[in-house]
Amino acid sequence: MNIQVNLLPEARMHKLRNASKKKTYATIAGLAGGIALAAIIVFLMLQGFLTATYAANNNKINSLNKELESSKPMEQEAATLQNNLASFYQTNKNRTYVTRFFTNFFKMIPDFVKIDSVSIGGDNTVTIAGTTNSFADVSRFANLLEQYNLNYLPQPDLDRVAIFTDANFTSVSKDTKTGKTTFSMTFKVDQDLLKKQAKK
Amino acid sequence: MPEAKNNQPQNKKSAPVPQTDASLGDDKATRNFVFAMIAATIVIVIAGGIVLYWLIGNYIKQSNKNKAQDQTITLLEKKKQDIAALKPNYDAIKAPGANGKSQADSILNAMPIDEGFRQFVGMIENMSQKANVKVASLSKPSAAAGGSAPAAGTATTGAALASGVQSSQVSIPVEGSYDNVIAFLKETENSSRVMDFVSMSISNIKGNVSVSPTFKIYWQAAANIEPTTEDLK
Repeated sequence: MNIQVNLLPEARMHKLRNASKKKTYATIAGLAGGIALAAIIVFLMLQGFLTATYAANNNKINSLNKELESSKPMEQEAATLQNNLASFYQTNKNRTYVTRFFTNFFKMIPDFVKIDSVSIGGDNTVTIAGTTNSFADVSRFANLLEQYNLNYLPQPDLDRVAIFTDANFTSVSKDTKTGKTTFSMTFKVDQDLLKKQAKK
Repeated sequence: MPEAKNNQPQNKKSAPVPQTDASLGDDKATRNFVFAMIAATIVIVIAGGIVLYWLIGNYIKQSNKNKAQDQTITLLEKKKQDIAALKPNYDAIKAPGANGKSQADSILNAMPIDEGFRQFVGMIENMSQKANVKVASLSKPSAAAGGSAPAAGTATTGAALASGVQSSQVSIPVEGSYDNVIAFLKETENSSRVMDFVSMSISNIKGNVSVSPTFKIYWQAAANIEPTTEDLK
């Protein structure tokens, strides 16, 4: 049988409990402070290291920029040449070749038609304005245009296909005094005739 | 004996702490100390948190700055190597050829960095001499007038222009025989500088032909080599 005997007086035990409580709270506060301080020191050191690296890198960038500064005119001109060559290639590829069109178009214009203007649009649409003697001549001209290279003046150097199609009048008017009939019309032209360069 | 049994629970009670001045003072001091420690811990956690938050923010910012520098250095070193590799080609392109003109001159002649109207006039003069036609004048039709021919100014060659390429239209009244006018148009088709036919007004077809073709000419401004920004990887 064990017998526990309290040898400390109650007052002494109470004092020790208070001291232990103090120690616990002091330890918690100390730990919090220590951890915070350690973290702050670590981040300050990292910041210092990064700042030093930043300064070193800055020097390196400045020296590289200085080296490259001397070749800036060459860089500028080379970039311009490269860009302009690429743009030239693009525009040259899409160049419009009109001599084949005009050679064929002028060949088919009958005596009773006088052409005043011609323009060529991006979708291979040709707009013309001209003068004839009557409405009937205007109609005849439109028919001849669409028949060109088929039943009207077939060309030995072209495949026998219609190269002027979809002739449409946009306006026809007759001067009652002179009897002259002016017209404007659009038609499509075979794009091979416009986009491919004529054989020399 | 029964009395002894009844006394046992009473023995388990802790003995009361004597309410002396010393024990009361010790209790108060302990309580104050605990409060002070709790307050100190709270202050440490809050203040430390704020300082750490600021430090971590700065660290991330600085770290990104350093990363950006690393990328810049890599790009600058690559640029240095590229320029070193470019130098021989550039020198070759700039070297004058047999006709006294370099390849660079030819490129800038074909696609100048400005409208280059003076050079264009000279080029047209050469063409007219070769084709034996008369060129009386060169004019730039205003955008509102759209030239002398129907739909001129609105007509395009169809293909979209490469970015940065600018264009303007020029009317060139030409007079000569039918064959010579066609030869002149052929010259424009074969010119080193791209001339896109837009429209043409015709005064006379029989005999001596008078036509006024409108062409589109192109140019592109010098390249912009100013530094650009890109996202941090």
